[in-house]
Amino acid sequence: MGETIHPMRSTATDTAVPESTSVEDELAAFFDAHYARMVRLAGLVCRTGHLAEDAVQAAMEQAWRRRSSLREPGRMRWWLDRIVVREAIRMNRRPWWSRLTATHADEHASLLPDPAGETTPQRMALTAAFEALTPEQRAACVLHLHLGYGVVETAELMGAGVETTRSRLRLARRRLRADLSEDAS
Amino acid sequence: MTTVNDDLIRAFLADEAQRAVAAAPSLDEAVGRLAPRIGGRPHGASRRLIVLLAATLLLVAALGTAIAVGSGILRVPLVITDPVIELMRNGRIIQADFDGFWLDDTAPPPPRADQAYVWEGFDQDTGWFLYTSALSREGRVWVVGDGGLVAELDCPASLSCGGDEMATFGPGREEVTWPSADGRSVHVIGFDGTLRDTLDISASISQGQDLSDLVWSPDGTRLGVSTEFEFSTECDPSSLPCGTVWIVNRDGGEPQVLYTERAAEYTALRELAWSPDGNTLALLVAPPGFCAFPEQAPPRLVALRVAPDEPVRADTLNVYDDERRESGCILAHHLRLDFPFAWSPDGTRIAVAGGGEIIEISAEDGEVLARHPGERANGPLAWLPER
Repeated sequence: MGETIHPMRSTATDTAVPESTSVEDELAAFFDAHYARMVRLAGLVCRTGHLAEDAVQAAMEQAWRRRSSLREPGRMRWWLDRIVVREAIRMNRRPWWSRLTATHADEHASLLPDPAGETTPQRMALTAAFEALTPEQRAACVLHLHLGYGVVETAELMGAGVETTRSRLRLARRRLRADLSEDAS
Repeated sequence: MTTVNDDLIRAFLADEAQRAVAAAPSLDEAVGRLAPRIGGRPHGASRRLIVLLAATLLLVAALGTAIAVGSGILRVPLVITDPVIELMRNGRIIQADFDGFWLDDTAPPPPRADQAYVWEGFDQDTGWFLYTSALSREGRVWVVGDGGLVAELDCPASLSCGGDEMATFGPGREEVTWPSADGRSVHVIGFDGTLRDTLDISASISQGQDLSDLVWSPDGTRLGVSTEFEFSTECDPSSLPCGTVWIVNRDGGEPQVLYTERAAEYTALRELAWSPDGNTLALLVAPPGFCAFPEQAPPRLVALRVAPDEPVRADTLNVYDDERRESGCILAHHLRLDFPFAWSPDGTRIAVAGGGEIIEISAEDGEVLARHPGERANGPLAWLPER
């Protein structure tokens, strides 16, 4: 009979939650410090509230189920970012027929009332240009330019090659410049 | 004209991020939605009782199996029961039923929910399986054989390893080869954890391409290497190939191009697999790694004939024309799960999963020789040697 594989190292994700707490309490304690970051990352990559919510849910479930594989607490942010960005990309790759059945009524954050009055034509053009990028290009931009990961780290987070990641960033910048130039002309 | 620079993009992203947070459900709402799927766990005394009962049952089962195997009543095939769920086809072809990286509610959960392994390779000579963590780039691989765990290897701390999913057996019997983080060299690591060699394969990495797969020939003298642009939009097939297959010799030198792909709709070259005699290198040639609409071109199983003193010849043995409709988007990272294949031990046939069944095709011309209908799993194939 095949032998069960046992990990040789202890894990570092035991949360200091009393035994008598509910699953909800444990989940909240686990994700409390990171939830907003997960939402930001998924929201920027997915570009629709519905997909972003699903991506965050899927990422939370994966992270919870595999929490024992996180051996260094200091790596949790990186570890979660990796799960979230891959789920967000996966959500954008769902078969076209599942997208057809999804609700079209979800509100995008950028279409919400804009009290500060910052929705300028330039801003709207940049929004449209960003949404026209592929999910992978958006993810590369977000990880590198918004979260500050280096190119090599970004590649690792996305599970892609370094050259591929550089290409994605280069193409994204080129497309953003081109679209805004066309809009201004 | 507005100049789009990184500062403008950063400001835009920061703004959009705040909007995303404002529109998202609260943590409590998210947890409330997630908790029912996670499920409650027993606490305190009931948990201890469950653990005690489970341990007792496992002990009884283990003793019973040991007695049955020892007495010859039960002939146990080579099976990895955790986490691979075995599907025996003709008695020798097995297939993992595992979702790979993504947790899928519709698939059976692995027996140990807190661990997730991906079956990356199989060596017919030794009967060993190579596993990586479902969270790739863990820098750790496991070698599992008939008798259980053979080796657990970490990428040495002094190295920078990448791409656990490209780790492969060889060149020596108790060695694993790991690509470096930049994909320009490979590290040969012994089962004892020591670095045996580092090969510079940068000469076989074409401009703008990344390493996508590697595999040693059965005799360990040649390394098959594939490189690719991940997206066809990033290569110009009129000037450069979008994907390339090479072989290099034992020290990483003398790169020889075996195959170049200049069709823009095919840019994923992966799942390299040598025939047992080392005269053929099979691989999957597939569309790029995203949903390309209109419909993507069907993946192909291609055999590169590399017999000595003969010109290299590429033969398409199988076209996965039915699978692409079933599987929806074709993702390069999932090729080994969605379009698996395996050489027979004698090298005359190849098992291919497709169309709701597993078929055996001729390794010479792709003719269908046998069919094994049944529920299709989602995982790699292996053809076990006869005992």
